[in-house]
Amino acid sequence: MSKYVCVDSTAEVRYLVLPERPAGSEKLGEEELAGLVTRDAMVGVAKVNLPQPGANL
Amino acid sequence: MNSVHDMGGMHGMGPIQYEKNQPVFHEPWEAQVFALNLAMGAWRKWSIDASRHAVELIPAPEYLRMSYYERWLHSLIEKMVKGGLVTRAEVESGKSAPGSPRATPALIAGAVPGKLAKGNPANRDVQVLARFKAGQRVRARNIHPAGHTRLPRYARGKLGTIYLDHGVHVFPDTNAHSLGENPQHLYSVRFAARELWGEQASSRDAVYLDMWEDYIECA
Repeated sequence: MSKYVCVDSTAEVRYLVLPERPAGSEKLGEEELAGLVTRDAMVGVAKVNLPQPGANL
Repeated sequence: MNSVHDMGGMHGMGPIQYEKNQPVFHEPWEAQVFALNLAMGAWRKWSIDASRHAVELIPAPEYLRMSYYERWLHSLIEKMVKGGLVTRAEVESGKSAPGSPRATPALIAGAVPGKLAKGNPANRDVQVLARFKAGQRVRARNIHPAGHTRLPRYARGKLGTIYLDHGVHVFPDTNAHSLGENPQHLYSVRFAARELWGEQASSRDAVYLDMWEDYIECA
């Protein structure tokens, strides 16, 4: 069961989320990992997913 | 002020419209409004807090009808009129009044990247005693200021725990009204979801709010 934390940035302080490294990404390098990160992952509303096998990148 | 901009916890606004690959600006005029706001802000006639209050002052029915950058444009005109940069007649006619002096721009295009990179920090390097410390149980004050505040209605009167101290920051409630920066400690305060939203909320979830010291009292 997920735990949801909402950060309401009411002040001038801004927050970025460090996305969780997806399972199965152990062999990926920095650039490949960076390519998986989305805007939604950085604001914490989506997980970073590995591309599906056969997906056209 | 308790107006419609403070939407946290309200029903009836419909689902969030999720937009894939959302652009920075949807229309060129939005970029123009953004640029105008930056160029006019460089005259330093208003603070970011006064800007936010100008948006809040848009009457609720109009506020809900307007898009984000329509609100920016509407509030920019109000700020410029109030700051003496333009008259209402000039806005309506689209022409400067005859005989009005030509100003040297406070911000020119070439200076924009540097200004944006520098930012406009709200923290202040002054020694102010911190009344609260991490781990302490506190209550958000039940206040309803008629002017600008950044204490959401959904949190007022609720119990929380100080999570961390962000240091000393400008206090928007006074700064918005040119009543001084009133620098004071800003804390991240954790509120359990159940404290805010009742028993139907998960006991695991929480909302963290940035709260100035004047928003907080001992629990």
